Amino acid sequence: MILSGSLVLLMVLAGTGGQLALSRGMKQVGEVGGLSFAGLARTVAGALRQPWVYAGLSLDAVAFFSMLALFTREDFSVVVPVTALSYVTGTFGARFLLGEHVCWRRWAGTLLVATGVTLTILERAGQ
Amino acid sequence: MKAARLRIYTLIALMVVLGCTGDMILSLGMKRIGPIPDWSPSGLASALFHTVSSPTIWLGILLLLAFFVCLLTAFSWADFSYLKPTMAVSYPFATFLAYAVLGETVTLTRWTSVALICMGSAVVGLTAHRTTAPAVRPVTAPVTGHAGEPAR
Repeated sequence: MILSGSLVLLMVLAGTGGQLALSRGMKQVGEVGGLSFAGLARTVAGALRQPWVYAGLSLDAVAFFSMLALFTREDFSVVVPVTALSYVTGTFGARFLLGEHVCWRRWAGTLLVATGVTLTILERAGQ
Repeated sequence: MKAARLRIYTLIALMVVLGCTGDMILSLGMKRIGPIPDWSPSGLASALFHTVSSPTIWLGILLLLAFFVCLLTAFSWADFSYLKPTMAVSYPFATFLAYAVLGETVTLTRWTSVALICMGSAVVGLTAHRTTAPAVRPVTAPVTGHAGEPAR
């Protein structure tokens, strides 16, 4: 139980941390002008020079393998709904680590989405 | 501001389509290959060979790579707390695909979750998409550094 709990914590925190790190890295790259091929190529080139992007990818890999390890111990219906927690932890991270202004409407919307995603996943797991 | 909002909506729509289609095509490719019958090293090597020689799998990987490049672009344009919930419209989109294209039955619970996600995404989508200042100048701006100033 302690090991499963630790794996859940690792999966959620590493997954959220990975995406927050990617977001931070890309903010440092700066805005890309448009959706042209040249613009997207500049995005990739800028991303490859950002240590935060590599940190994000590494954390995402940790989250992925934690999820695989968790699947060997717990049912799918237990593991997957927990991933919906990442909406809430992600918004906390954006507020306190990235310094974003999260207004009450953004919180309300995030909670609605997290509830909807949990329902979707629970229903899928029950099939 | 309107143009910036339209631009981010377009990018989110593109990501949803690329992500969902990529997932669906990968799943289709893996189903065509079938379950791995033999977990010995030679069996696994054979499964790997079938996977990497499947054009369907490569198409799926290509679409997911395009999704990832769009995701990186989106992270450079908008707040994380804006993108995370709005990108969840991929769940309703996948449900719509399952219903309209694959002819699956969609239960009342699933429609309820679709409604909740759509409402939540709309509420977040109407907030300002960026609340932090850009860290550096846009990369599209021409680099006109003075002599001796390193171009960043």
